[in-house]
Amino acid sequence: MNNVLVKAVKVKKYFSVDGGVINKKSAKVHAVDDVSFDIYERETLALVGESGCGKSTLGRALIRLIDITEGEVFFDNQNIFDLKENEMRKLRRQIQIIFQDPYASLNPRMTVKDIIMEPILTHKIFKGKDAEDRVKELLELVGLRPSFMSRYPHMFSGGQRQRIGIARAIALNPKFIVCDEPVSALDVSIQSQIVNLLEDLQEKNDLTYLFISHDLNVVNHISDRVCVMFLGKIMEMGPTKDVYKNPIHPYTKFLIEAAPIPDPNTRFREKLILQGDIPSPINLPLGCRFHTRCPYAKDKCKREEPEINGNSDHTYACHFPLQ
Amino acid sequence: MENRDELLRIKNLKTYFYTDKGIVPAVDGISLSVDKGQIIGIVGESGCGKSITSLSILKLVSEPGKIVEGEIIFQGENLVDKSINEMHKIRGNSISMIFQEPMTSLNPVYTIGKQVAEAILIHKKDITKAEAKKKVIEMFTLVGIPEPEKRFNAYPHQLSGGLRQRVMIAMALICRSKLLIADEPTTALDVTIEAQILDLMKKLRDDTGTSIIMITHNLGVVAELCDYAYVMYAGKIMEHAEIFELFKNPMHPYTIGLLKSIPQRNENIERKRLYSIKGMVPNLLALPKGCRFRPRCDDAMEICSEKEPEIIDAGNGHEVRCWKYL
Repeated sequence: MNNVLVKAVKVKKYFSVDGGVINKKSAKVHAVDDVSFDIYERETLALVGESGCGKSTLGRALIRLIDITEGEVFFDNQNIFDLKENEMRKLRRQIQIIFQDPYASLNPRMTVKDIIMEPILTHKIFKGKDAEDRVKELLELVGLRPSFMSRYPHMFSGGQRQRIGIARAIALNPKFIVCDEPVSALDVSIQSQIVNLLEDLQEKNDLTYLFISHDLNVVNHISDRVCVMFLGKIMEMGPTKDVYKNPIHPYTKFLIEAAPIPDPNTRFREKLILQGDIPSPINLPLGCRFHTRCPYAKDKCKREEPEINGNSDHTYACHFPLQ
Repeated sequence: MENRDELLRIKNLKTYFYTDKGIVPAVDGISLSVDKGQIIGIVGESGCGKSITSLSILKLVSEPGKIVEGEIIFQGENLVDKSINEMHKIRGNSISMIFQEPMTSLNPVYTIGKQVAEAILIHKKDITKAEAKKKVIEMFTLVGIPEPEKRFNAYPHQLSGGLRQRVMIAMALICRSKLLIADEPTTALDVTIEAQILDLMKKLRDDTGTSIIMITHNLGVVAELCDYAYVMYAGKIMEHAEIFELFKNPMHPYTIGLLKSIPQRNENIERKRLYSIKGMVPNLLALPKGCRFRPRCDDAMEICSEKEPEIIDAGNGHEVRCWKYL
């Protein structure tokens, strides 16, 4: 096993919501609630879950784009929340992020050259002509023509924009990249191009990815390990193949079953459909937070929140595991 | 094919947009048909014209777009010739539509009950408000909205995305529409909620016999739900077939490419590269000469850049537009 690159220890992130002018009661959204895990060098850890489960918040917390309420995050054995601002800025060379929306994450008033060159100049890696050469090199690396340098983002398609976002993210030769739903906004035929590009870059540059996604087919393809979240908590975590083949937590099983399969012969299978909606992260149910939707829930699930169980490889939080 | 009970037939429909930069042939001569109780799928990537096709059926294409050619025969009548007033009677009554964004298609200042009741009150003149309310609550029950009496007075923001989409489906079906057009109804929803909505649509078809046109980019959704599918690319139908035939024996290089690009679940072999269709969707203002898929096609031949192929019958009710099969 490789070395641990990123370590999250009991990370909590609560957001306050104000009750308004008249009724000033404020409530807390438990976006990330006591999450711990390790990410190893050169692996792809996928973070899956439905909207509002806290996966993007967690991704942002790991690279200190937001502050956390409690807990610690270590990068290369340094607690990143202990670092001073200038130390953190230095560290930012090694940690980058790729966003979901290729339309909103590029400044429409900047040319592609300026967008990609900005981190290079800010961190004083190259100057002048050298910086420009680096931009050309990066564009080629992500499969765009260097002659596109002087164009603006609106002149590109979604897939090309995502390539620009990737070029910007790898401009400083980072070690760790948070990919926040990088292919969700793209068409199928473009999706596979970007997935291949991310895999090639990982191979070439020894990158470590946190791959946030709700697409279980893509996650199955790209990740080494997978972490399933529900309402701010980890439900199950383990090697991707293992988790897909033998899900231990009922939620994982339902999530995997729910994704439509592109083969009509599978439509007659006994399909498990999860009833109900995701509970509000403000008024969390007592006990296991999944029990209101879980068909196997028993009395104990309504009273006690399950601890994390399992071996060091494959963990789960459930009183009545499927295996 | 004589005993088929045809509800809708589109013949050579062309919807063009007259922009400052030139004419955009968003829908460029498509033909399709929907039988009673059938669920057909129109699959394609963004910009292929699948949404414009559905808007054309309801004549909701706005300026600078125009239906320039073709016929839309619904229950024996050509909708292209209908006046605005006549279309008002059809929309929401015999043909209704649900959209991708359940967040933006509901009016935030009215209760959902009122909005759904409005659909009946407009189309059925002899119905009282109390009767309408009763019908709405029945419909809410049918589409699986919990506590329908209470929810009648709820506002859209009080509901989750999945529930809002159920409200949209209730609204679309309240007048017992013969045809439901669903434009990416599950794209904005989470997978577990998507599974619920697809299941609901299948049940509604089985119980009420409503025909459904499912517009989607997701081949998984088509495989789960549809009886028949059309594959669209840059304004034209490239291939269509009965669903099992299409997935078993895809013929057009575009369809084959799309199916191969989806990561497979049972990848037991060590992680291999995903197949990807090279290049990107062409600009509709400057379509390539010949076959419009040619620049991205691995099997392109000389003739492909010279002449556009006609759609041909490949047997088994399977039709394909490709020179390989001519």
